[in-house]
Amino acid sequence: MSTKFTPEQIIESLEGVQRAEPKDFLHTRILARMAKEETGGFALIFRVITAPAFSLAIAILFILINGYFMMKTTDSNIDKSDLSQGIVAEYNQHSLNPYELPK
Amino acid sequence: MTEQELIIGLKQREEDAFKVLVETRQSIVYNTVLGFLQSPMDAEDVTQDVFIKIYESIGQFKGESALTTWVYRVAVTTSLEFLRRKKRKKRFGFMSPILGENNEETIELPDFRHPGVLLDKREMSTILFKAIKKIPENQQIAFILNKLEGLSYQEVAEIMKTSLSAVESLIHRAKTNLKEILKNFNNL
Repeated sequence: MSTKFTPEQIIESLEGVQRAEPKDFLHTRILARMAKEETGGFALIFRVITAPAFSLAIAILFILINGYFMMKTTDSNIDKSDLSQGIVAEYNQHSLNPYELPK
Repeated sequence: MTEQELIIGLKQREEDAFKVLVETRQSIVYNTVLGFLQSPMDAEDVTQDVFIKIYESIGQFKGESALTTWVYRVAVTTSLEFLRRKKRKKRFGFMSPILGENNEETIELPDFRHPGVLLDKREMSTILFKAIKKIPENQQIAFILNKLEGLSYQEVAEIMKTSLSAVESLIHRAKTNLKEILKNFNNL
């Protein structure tokens, strides 16, 4: 860039600027785009579901749901064994041998 | 067609009203958008977005401000949203194959020359537009609306939904920041 201008001159360079105009037939182009967007809904859905990120997200979700249910099943097994141990302890079954007379 | 008739027509989805809106406001929208985007191609697209947004959300227009003020507001917010999206796309460009996005151009555009700038000021305005990109967003809005669109401080304040003194302060700070940036404009 050239150094022949002062900052003040540069800041004032928009003095007398004319409005820029868009290309012709803007209204027609907007209507065409609106019509295209109306029919393009399915295309958008298709584009979203075929995106690799979408497939990846679904796969991760599937793994997470599976993981959650696996964890839940393991937890309930632990709970059941806790319960049975509690019953055994309560009735002092663990030390009872049917072939041994109580002292 | 009066402004009131135009608003009623737009709310009733009349095609003629929409045509009048586009034809009477296209230059203000395009010029504002171009000021922010500094790319005629992007500005054409975003100008279309602005009018589509206006058409779709005219029901939200309560008439608390003039229709043109609201149009400016939509133009400014749509431009800023576009710039943020573009910046994000640039930052996460490496992820576009995963996201399945088109590899749209993220290359740096050549220096911007506003078509309405006087011939003898073109070189200076190119430097100015480069510097404008470096100042804070709200200062950019105030500066562009005032200097490029030629709006008064009061009109800018209405568009930005702020006070007159706040706009004065924003433009003052914008100029101070621009001066500071332009001191080193060899590096721009």
